[in-house]
Amino acid sequence: MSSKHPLLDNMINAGLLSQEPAQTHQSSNNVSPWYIKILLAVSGWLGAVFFLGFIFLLMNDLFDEPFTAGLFGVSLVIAAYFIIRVVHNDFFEHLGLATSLAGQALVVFSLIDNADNAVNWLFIGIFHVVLAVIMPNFVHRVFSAIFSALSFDIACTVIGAPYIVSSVALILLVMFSINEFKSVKIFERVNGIIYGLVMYWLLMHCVTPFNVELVELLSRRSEPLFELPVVVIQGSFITAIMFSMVKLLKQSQLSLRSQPVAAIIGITFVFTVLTINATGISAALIVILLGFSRSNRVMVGLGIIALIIYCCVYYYNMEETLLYKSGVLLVITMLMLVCRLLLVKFWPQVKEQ
Amino acid sequence: MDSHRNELISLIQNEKITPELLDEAVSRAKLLPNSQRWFAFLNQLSLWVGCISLGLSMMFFIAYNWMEFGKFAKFALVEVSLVLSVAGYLLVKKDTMLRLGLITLASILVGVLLALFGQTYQTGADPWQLFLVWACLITPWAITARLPVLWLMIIGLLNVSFALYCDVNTNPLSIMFNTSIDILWGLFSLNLISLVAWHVARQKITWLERDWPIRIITLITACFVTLLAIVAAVEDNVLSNAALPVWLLCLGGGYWIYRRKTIDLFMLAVGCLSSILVIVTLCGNLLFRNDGEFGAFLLLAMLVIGLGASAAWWLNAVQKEVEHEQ
Repeated sequence: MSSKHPLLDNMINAGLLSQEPAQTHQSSNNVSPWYIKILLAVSGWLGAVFFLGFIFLLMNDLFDEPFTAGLFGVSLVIAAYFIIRVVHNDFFEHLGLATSLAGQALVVFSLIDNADNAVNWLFIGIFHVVLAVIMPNFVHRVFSAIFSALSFDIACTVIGAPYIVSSVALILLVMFSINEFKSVKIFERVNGIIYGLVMYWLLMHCVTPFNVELVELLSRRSEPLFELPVVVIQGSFITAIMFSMVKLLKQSQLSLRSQPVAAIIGITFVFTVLTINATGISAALIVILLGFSRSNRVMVGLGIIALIIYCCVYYYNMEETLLYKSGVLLVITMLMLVCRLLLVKFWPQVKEQ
Repeated sequence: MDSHRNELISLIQNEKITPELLDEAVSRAKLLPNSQRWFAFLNQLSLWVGCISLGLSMMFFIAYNWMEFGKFAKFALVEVSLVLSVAGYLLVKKDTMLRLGLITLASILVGVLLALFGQTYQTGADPWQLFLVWACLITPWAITARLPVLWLMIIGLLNVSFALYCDVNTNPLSIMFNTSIDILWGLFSLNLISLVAWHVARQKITWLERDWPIRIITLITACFVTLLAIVAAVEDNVLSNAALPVWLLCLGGGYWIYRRKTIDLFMLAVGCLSSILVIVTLCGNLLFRNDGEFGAFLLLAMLVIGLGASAAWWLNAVQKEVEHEQ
């Protein structure tokens, strides 16, 4: 009969952990599954909306003066930090999350008065980065990581360099993912940031209407300082994907000089270049591969859901004709089938499932 | 993924693993897939992405309605692809992933063929008929292929067909009852029937035992019944509408099945989220009706936080109970 705690038993048998019964080690388990975390996130967000409504009605005059609103927002965030840090209780963690989200909304409101000012968005981004690092709550870190990446993205879009941040975010995501278990102390922090970056990356590339509307909404009030050539934007995307792939292959137990690895790198490059006008496909696939390389089922699931959403969104994408899109999908089919053929040929030691 | 990632995270968060032991623990948790696992995964990924993108490519091509490409050529293209994929399914060795990929591709191509037929001959049929016929035609393949994805596809097609039907038709029983058809009630009933059927079938059929398909159907059913209850609450229609009693029945049924008979934390979490949304809507409707906006927001914020915290506490307690029993 297989053990319920194989890793724990393995470590006890190897003398790495004390000989306590497995249940003693597991009894203080405080790790919630992902769907409980989603429940917490939804109720935290909903609580923040109502809390913000309360503050708005209570201190209506506060919103006339952005500086006061910002100051009050910062005070709320500081109060939330102490609520979460000091009181270890589900109710107060929720209260802290809702208070902090309401405070962040006030800070953003106070700074976006001049929405075409990239510096303000930069400040908002830095503010959220600080929160992602210091706030001792997983759901809060996920929110802060998404908001910080979005703020930096808007800042770059306003100055005329859209999508560059998303490429940097992918590189950061991969670096954080492959180093997530480097230290016990930083694991908690890094884990929340990883999921935040995954969600931001998928939102930007796979949920196209969200991305387009966001960019239009926030950049229409200003003329960009310059216009980054499309080739540079596409080049940054390809570079980020290739960087991620090489890092993943380095992590795997395959030799970088082996034929399969060379074939994988070559196919990835060709695939990314040929689907450059349908970035959602490469974006979702790289998340699926990253998730698999870290045995992270939730990340794989997010990638699959994003890929399905993108297939639906892609049909209605007005930038290309259906004939062109059909051609892109045909190219993907051919590449995938070639990839499978090469896999079977170069990996002869394993029989087909 | 036969790694022990979750157990490793649990041990780290419970401070059972010291910094010196971390590398050893990560290595023993088999976090990084070996060559064999990579091969199996890439093999599956390339096959599924290839098959589904081929089906979609054909669908987009037909939807483009390229006039230079004659109608016979279009029919030949789709029909030859369909025949080849079905022939491939019949010829390929049993229990291989390729076989399942081919039947999925064939199922998509049936829809493409129906769309092409409608486009070419202008049959005058409504779109809902296309989706219904599509679902019916691939049902025998779903039975023989024993593939949950195909059954989910059929349920999805039936949902789309019903939604499109409601767009252009009244209640088929309108002669008797003289009522208009309610799309939300219809979709809820359809998914509830699918859910019950899947539950009953999985008791006897081993290939339906996996959790993720039934979780998807439960999530969709829960969305519709929650939406019905919320709409009833918002429209101040709680007493004269069956939505709230039906929602309560679903909640009770779910509790009995997933807490008393078996334990499924995912299903319980869905129930908790649905409860929070409906209770908050009901209370919000009550509070805002009395012009109490000022305090209402604070009360609702506290209510949401309290309900969310209670739900998390209860779910964590159930999780610990399960772990203790193991």
